[in-house]
Amino acid sequence: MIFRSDETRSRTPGPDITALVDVVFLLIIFFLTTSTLAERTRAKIELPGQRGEDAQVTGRPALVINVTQDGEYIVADEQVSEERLFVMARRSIRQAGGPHAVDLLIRADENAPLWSVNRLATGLMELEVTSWRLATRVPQPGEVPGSGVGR
Amino acid sequence: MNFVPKEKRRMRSRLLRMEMTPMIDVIFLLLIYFFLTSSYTPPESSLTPALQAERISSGAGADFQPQIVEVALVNGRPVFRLLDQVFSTQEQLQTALSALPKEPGVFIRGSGVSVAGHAVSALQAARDAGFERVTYVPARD
Repeated sequence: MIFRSDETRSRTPGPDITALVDVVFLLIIFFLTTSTLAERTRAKIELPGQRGEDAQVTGRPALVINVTQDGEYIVADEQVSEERLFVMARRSIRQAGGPHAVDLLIRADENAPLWSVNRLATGLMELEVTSWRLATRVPQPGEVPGSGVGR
Repeated sequence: MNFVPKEKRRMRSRLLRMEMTPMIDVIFLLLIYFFLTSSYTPPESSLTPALQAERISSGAGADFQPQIVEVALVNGRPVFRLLDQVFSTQEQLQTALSALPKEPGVFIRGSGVSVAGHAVSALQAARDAGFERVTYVPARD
């Protein structure tokens, strides 16, 4: 037995989900824009906590070379030998139109041995590269710059 | 007065209602996916020193003394050496560099026994001291 007519039921106001859908869409857009799916070139290493330079270079670097705490080189999530690394660097230089135009980003762990960075720098100089970028991590508020070194 | 029959009215209201449930299901699934797969990465910056081979020490005939900061280890402790002075912190190095002329630029020579973080500290100190021309020189050791 139904005591309530169909008309009354259809008129009963349901919960207004418009606001909820709005918020959920905003969250999805936020995650889509900030997700790090495209940042596979970044290996998980502790960068030196330094402010860096005010004038930041925009755009994606031609080659991102990660230097781990053990002095190993990682490019695009893959450990590479020194020889292979310089083959990649040569290719990037060719694609960029010359050693002065290429944008190379070196992401060295703050506790990476400097000899590994020096070998990389020497090899790049042999390829006539005159400038490079060393990645830093913007320090947290109250963090002393360079405090993570030697930890 | 409403001339539309009652049955027709009911049908129209049923047709006009948009079914939101599957859409919300999909949206929530997407939301959960992004919650689970996204990872927080701290903001990054960079320093852009020039690169140069180790030739600067042989500049005996040059008009000016090259300004070189050596990143080294003394008794197992990392230090910055500048013109016979030894500094143990980045702040001390920056203060000393601030007093130097900026036109010739500064060279940062990193010893292989040190770590990358110290070389980056020296580069940052040079930039913060107001040097436009900062050159990194890998030491031959």
